[in-house]
Amino acid sequence: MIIAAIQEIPDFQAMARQTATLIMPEIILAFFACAALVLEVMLPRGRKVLVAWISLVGVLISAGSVALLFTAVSSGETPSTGFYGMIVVDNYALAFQVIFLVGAALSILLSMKYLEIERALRGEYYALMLLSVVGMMFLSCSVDLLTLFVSLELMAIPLYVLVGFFRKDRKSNEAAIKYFLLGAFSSGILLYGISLLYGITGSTNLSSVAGAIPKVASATFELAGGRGDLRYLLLLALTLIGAGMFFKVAAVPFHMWAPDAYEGAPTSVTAFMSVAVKAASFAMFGRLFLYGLPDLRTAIGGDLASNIPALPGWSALLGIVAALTIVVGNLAALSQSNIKRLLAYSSISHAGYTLLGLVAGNKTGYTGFILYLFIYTLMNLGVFGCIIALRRQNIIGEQMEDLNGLSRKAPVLTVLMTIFLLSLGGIPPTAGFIGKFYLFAGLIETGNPWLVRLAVLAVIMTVVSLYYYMRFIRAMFIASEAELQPVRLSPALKTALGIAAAVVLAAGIYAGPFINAAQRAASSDGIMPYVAKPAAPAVPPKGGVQRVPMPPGSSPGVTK
Amino acid sequence: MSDQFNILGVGILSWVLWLPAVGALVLLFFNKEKKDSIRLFANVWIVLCFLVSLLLITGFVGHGGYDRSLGGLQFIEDHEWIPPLGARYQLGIDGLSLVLVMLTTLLGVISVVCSWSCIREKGREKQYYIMLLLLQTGMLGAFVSADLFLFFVFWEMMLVPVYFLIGIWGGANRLYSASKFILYTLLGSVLMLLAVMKLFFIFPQVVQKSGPDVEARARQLCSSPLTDALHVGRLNAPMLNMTMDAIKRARGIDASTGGPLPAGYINSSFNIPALTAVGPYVKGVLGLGLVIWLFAGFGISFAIRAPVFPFHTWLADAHYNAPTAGSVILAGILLKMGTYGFLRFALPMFPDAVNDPTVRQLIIILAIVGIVYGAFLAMAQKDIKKLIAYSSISQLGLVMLGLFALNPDGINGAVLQMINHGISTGGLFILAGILYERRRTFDISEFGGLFGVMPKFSVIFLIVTLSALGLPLLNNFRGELLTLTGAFEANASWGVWGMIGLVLVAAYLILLYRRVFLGRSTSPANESLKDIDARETWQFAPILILIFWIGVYPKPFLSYINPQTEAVVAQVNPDYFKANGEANKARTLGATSIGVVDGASANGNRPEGR
Repeated sequence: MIIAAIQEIPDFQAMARQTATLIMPEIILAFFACAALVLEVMLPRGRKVLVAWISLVGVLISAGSVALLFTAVSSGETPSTGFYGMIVVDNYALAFQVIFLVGAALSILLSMKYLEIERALRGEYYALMLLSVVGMMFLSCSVDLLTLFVSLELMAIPLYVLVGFFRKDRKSNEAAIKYFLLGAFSSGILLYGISLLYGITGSTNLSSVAGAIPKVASATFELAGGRGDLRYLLLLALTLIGAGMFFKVAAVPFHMWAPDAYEGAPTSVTAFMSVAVKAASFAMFGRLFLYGLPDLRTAIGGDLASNIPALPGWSALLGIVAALTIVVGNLAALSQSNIKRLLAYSSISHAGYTLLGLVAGNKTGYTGFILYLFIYTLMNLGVFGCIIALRRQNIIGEQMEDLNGLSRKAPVLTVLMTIFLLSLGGIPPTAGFIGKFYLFAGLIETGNPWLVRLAVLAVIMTVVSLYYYMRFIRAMFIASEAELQPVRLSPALKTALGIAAAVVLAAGIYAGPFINAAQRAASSDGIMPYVAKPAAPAVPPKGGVQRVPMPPGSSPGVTK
Repeated sequence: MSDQFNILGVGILSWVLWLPAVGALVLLFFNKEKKDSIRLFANVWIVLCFLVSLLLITGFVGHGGYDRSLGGLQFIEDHEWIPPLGARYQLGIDGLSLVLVMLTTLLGVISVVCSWSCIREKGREKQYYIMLLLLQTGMLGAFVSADLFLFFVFWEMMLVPVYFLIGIWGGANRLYSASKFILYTLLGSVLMLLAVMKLFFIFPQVVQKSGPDVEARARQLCSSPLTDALHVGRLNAPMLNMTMDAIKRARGIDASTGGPLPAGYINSSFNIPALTAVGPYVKGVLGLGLVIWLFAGFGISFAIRAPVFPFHTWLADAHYNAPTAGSVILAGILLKMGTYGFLRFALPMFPDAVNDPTVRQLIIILAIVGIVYGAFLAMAQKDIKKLIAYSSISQLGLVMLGLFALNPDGINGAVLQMINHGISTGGLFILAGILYERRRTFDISEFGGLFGVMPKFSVIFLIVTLSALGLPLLNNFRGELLTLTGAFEANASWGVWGMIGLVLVAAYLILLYRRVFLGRSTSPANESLKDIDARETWQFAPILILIFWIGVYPKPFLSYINPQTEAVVAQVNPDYFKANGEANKARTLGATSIGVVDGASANGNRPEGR
């Protein structure tokens, strides 16, 4: 009765309609997730694969509604904020939603045959996957610390289950436990940081947080009982939030869970985890730091007059972590013999590259950040798809030797795999090159000598990474085959790989539209490029590469 | 010719560039078991590619060929490619690129033809020819790009087919060599990528600071060289338009619409002539330090490809373990990428760095060390193919010496030497390959007295060897002479060191010939070797023709190269033309670059001229 009464209020109806439009893609996905669960119970044993197709349809419809939402929001028909400012559906959110949906669709296609071979064809799998995607989609549009955290958990919890989906496989179980424990731990750290931030700024809404920061970040903040210095507290909050996020994106030194979880999890889940989850965590990363804490980028306000030095901001933290991640990820990957483990380290290093976009802090860098995540989703899923194709009856297909002589057994698969690998290595004319180009160009554009050094380190490490990608190619083309069991691709897998490879090539050869889309996403409100203030350089330059200071305001100002 | 040269609506350069790739695409649809038809198709196709590239010189229905009197890039194609980034699909060639394009298509034919029998035993024909054709497109792309981004794409892309060629069809140590090759060269490429980015971002700054100077420089680059009395002031309009579009973009104007650039577009450009025009003014705006860093970024990449002395270690492995066709292409063209890069990018874009005494001194020293050390390395080899491989280090050192003499003689000689090295060393690799097919070894001590057994083969080997060691009337003599003239002109001691290198070249090549072909056979297996058959003989026809042609009458080649050379000298060493005044201009024009070879006008003007 009461509910009915509330619904009578016209304002409520308007608001409900509006917010419902804003989260329509999520609603659709959630509905299909439930449908998948119900169908799982209803369908006979032999027909379970239908659940997969229905989930796929759900993803596609959701993608359609994302497209509708894009036109509605960009034309101004629908205001982009909803739920009392807790979510904002801007281009940034929509771009990430597209990435998640693409990742989910391809992952579903990859999973079908694999689950059949593993005898784990159960509908919950797809329901869990869809629920996790719902969490990701909310994550991308949340601008409130609370919704961010809740959607993060909504994304993570189904994944803990998925990682341990092979109940009888010890490795899968081990991976699930590790992933769960460390994931919960990192959520705790993150939450601690969030609570501190709330305590300091007095709001959970990111834009209010951003508004309060300049006040509290000064060395002489008026407290009730006199003056106080909240900056160290702020630094602590920043570091804790950073640490939590580094856990989620598997950045060094918080990367230890990744190789174990990736190796133990079902390959299709690994594929999903390594792309969609990573992209979602980065979406949250971007929101938190670019939207919520933009003023803490370079330094936490010092006071030159009273001789109080500034504390380092988050760009230094991110820069150091990115450098470590790239170096450790690539070097550790060199010696792996298990493909999944190798790809885990490779994906760690790619997280490092992606961080470079945030570190650069200009529009080029942000464009690279979003573009690279999209490209990475396709190419990494592609590689995992090829690994899944190797899984045949009685053959695990997870060791490097299992690739031997693949070019004779499955020439098409080999060519596709080569495209994905070259793209991961950043060789033109594949998309990986364009993505890396933008990431590195962002660093170079700043002209900051430390960032230039970071770029030099990063490009040198791409050469190292090419060494282990070449190991795959060498095994496939040059080594002679160890076993002769043919490799046949299921039609679903073929489609998924074909599409992924086509887009990877298209984005490499004709990059314009992709760059445009990424650029539009990167110039959403609130994601402002950092404008260098001459007074506070990111890291004090100590002699070095660039002897000539950039004219003020010109570094990001190249783009209008 | 200045206006569009299209065939079926597609520009001639696009034809030349993409035809090999199209062939590779067609090959994909062949059944891999039909080995003979694959082989036949690849051979016919590569010849077709060569014939199409000939149109660049000869012209085609209603359209003339390359116009030698016009400076700058010709056959320009300019299309939108990645608008936000300002990268465009821009193609264009000048005389320098044209010569190298022709060399590439010709060596492409030779390398495909010479694989005829050896691929039969190694197998996987389909993949092999696809890789060769893709490689061809990659290399041509680097020569015809007028956009730095496009150039870079080809520059990196071409490494992949080479990796496969060495890795799959190579010799005993192929995996190691292939990995070493690709990692080494990639390391250079990525450093260059950073320099490219930096150049890209400073381009608008320099244009905004010293716009009129840049425009004047662009105009100068787009006109015929000053020394060409007949054509002074002729302007290459399409090239100038392309360059001006890039400069406009740097000022925030979209050239296609005339309005301001759309939001999110970066107001810079990768246009090579525009970046070259900016080169001399970077120092004024951003200081010499940055120029030197940029030069280092480009220079290291090119030095690794060339290879210049401390970066040469990949070369011997890659050459030695590559299949014959791979060695031919590696030596003939891929190494030229490095020196081409110096001439096209590093020298004209960063004249201030090049003129920095320390930098120039350093490079000259490295080049000389390369010449002498490479020659000694070659001399110490017990293996024919390794000897040829190491000789490249020495030869490319000479090319570098010529380039950094920074005068027309030196650079003309260096370019001529690039071609000569491609022909002679390519020929030597094929000859060594033939020997290997018959005897299964490259070990020099296994051979001896082959002259009696394989007379035809021995004669060809003799001619190519003599050409490589610089016998007068053969091609290398001309190149070396010009290069050394340039080196002497710049600094007498450089010339002397170059000379010493040449003596050593003669020493190891003659030793090689003596030990393989003369004397008494050391092994009974040599007695029954088959002489080369008709196909094997005929594949040397183009090589031999070029050896004699360049040796006797190199004027046509130089007339293509010289305008670009003078443009580079005017950019890097502008004092050269000014200081030496009219007399020197006349000398340059009449006696040195073209005149030496012209016989008639070669009089006592110069000591080395005959």
